[in-house]
Amino acid sequence: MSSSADAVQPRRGLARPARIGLLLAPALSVVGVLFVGGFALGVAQSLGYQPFLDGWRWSTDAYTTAWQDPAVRASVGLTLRVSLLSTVGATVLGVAAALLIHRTRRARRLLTAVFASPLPVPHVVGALTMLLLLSQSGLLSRVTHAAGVTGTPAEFPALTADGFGVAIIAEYVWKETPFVGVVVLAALSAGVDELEDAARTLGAGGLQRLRHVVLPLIAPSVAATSVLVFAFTFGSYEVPFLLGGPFPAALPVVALQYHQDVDLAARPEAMAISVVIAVLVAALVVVYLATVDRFVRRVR
Amino acid sequence: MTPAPAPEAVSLRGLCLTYPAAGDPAVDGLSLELAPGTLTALLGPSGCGKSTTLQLVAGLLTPQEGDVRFGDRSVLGTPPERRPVAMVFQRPLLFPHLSVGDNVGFGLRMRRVPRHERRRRVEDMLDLVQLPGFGDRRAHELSGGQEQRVALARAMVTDPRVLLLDEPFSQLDAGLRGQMRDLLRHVQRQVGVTTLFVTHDQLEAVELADSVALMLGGRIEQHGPPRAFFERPETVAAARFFGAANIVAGRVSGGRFECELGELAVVDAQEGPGHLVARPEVLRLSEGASRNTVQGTVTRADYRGTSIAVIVTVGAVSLQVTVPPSVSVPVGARVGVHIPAHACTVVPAEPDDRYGPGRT
Amino acid sequence: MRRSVGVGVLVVGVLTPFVPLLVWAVSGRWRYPSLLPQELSARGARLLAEPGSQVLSGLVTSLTVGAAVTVLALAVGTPAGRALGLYSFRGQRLVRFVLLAPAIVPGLAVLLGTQVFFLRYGLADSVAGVVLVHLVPTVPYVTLVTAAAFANFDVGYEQQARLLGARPLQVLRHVTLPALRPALMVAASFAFLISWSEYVLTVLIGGGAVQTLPLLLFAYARGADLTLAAAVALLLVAPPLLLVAAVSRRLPRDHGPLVGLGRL
Repeated sequence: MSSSADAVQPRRGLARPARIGLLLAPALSVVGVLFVGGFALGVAQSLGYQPFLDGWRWSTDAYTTAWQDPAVRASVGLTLRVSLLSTVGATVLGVAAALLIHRTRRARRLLTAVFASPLPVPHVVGALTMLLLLSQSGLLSRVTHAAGVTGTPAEFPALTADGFGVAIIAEYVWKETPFVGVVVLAALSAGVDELEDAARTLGAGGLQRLRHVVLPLIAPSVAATSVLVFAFTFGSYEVPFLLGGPFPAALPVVALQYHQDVDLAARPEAMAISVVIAVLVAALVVVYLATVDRFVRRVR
Repeated sequence: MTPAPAPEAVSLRGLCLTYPAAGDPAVDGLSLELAPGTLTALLGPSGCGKSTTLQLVAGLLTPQEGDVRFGDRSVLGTPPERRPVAMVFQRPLLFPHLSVGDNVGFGLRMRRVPRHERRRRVEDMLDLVQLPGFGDRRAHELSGGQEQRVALARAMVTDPRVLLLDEPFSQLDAGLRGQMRDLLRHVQRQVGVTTLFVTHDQLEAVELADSVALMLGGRIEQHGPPRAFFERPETVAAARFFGAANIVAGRVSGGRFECELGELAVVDAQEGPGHLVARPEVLRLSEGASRNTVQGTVTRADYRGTSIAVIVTVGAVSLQVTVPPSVSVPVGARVGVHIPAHACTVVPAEPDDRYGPGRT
Repeated sequence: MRRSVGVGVLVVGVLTPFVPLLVWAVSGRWRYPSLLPQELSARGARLLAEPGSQVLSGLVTSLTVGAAVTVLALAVGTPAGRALGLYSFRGQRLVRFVLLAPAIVPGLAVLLGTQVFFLRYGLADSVAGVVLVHLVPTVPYVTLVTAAAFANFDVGYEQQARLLGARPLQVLRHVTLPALRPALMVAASFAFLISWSEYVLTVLIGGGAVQTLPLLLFAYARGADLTLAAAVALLLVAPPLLLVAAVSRRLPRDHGPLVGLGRL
């Protein structure tokens, strides 16, 4: 273990609190001003504050408007549905892939590299590939045409710009499965094999080991990555903007759309929506840290 | 305590295994017979293949050649989870997500033993390893010694026919190790399970085991009661491993051992070339000349607390003698070293004698 | 047997989306329903190489922003990482939460409210403003990675250097930074990848005046010029893949895939 800096402070120079403060100052200023400040400004603007303008007053009207706005309601449904399905899909597939790769002996490094290849791909590119693959005149549609299943583009189901968000979910699952998989793979490499050996000598067969040893041990990683995937997909803009339809659109898309509306009256509503997004995600993380994380960490 | 099933004999025959990346085999034609109900120590230096042997018995590894038999049947095709073995590893490997009680009961749960009976057996076993009432604790709350006791309880509760232990105490402090050894012997004698215990510590092997199997270079060098290694080592390597510092090459003819020290009387020695093995503890410093006494010069006398290690040079040979600390042995003095005929052995030269008649 | 099928499915599933990208980038005419392009074309490549083309300037902009963000994020995040990794102090959990929150909470939601202020203070529609706003998602990752590295760093090395006569800056240069090199490489990769891939924040603050490659991609995609969109996409994908490959070769084995953890 490294020796803590606390034990070895030189006598000269800055006092400890000052030293720590100085180290933290740049990062805290950036995050403090932009992130915390940005959020505070968002809240203020959602409550009616209009900077650099006269004649504004505080009110919660924006929230009521948003709540009653059919576009917003539909958007909430779409965004929740897409995030939930993407998270479940990426988690299940990611864990399965990690277990598969962990058991593979030959060419494991190559397989891992291939599996991880979507990770550095920007989401905008991922969205484009899904568009090229899944649109009604895309590659998949041409394959079904060649197979005689569809005759025209219209006969191929609308997966992009649709109300369900199929292509959006596909993109998220494609990008996030390797994320979950790589983290779980790392967790599997950290001593799970020895515990499986111990379990084998105690009479546990393959399925029993999976259920009683492997899954409980990777549970913290799975829980953490699931939360991250949900949080990301809930607040992501690029992918639903490119792959989704005009109605319903994802919440971040609606927020930016209202924000850019020429009618400045739409702005508080845009802020209200983004505040809700931020608060929802933050609440999710807090709930996770307070419950699941604590439960799962009892394991350690 | 539920009565244990009849213990089984374990037979290892001609086991061979070479790891893919390695040049030399880890296990090279190893054969070993374990009598039922006995505790055998598999002793050897690091890297000699002891852990590999254990894993072959457990079924975690498959030999490239050879057979593993429990009783009268081969278990070679049987996976570890279906062999009647239990294993305690060097690290406790307690499942971190389970309580102590659930850890101990794990094997029973895998066998679908009903909960009531499971709980009863777990409690009995925890009592046996002197951790009564620890069932609800979690693994990370335990000390190292406690963890290993839980690991032992976990292995034993399934009533295995064969118990395997891979240097289970090597990571504990010296004082704790002694206690754990006592506990293991107590438990093993009580339950009577055939046990194979791997260690690199000869004192541990000697203290614990009914019989010791010395493993060098992938095969068994000598197998027998602990005494035999001190009184009758069968090879020079075995003698060396057990600290017999005085090994002199020569040949036996007509009941006498001819070597650089002269002609020495020996007992029960096989005719032909061989090595005389005399432990430092059995040699004596003597004033006069007599049968089996050689004259030499003291070149070193190191104080060792409970004894003095004296090196006496006799011609080209250095003999190490252990004397009580009260004896004064000045360096440079001429002394006689008496080599009692009954207390030393002649190890016959091996067919592919690694040491050669002229070399020690 | 089942395992090979599984591996096959995995590989196909992962690699399939790359296929249309590659093909469309080099296609001239490719009408539905043909499976292969009727005409291949180097239009995409030509556009990239043309001096004064949008793509080239977009590339330069992306690289400039990315480099600036990387340098600044490292400068800002590494000291914070040192504070969190090497010391323990009161309020540490809160600080850690605040510094890492931007990595989880969606950037758009939080920064939407700042746009007016960027406009007002002349930072909108400028590279400087875009760089500034890109710091929000990148600094947490740099902090996270360097904090982990500092937690494993033995301060004894620095003291030893001081005792041997090194001044603080020399200690930094000859002892601390070399020891942190792997972590700094990973952190720099994260920061660059995040900035390189960023779209919505650039649109929000850059206002269309700062055209990075992701913005170009979107423009072509929505303009239905799929060949150009695909070409730009390939250009967008190349540096991240190369970066990941280069960095993972230089790092101990386990780090490799984790480097790819760019922006989610």
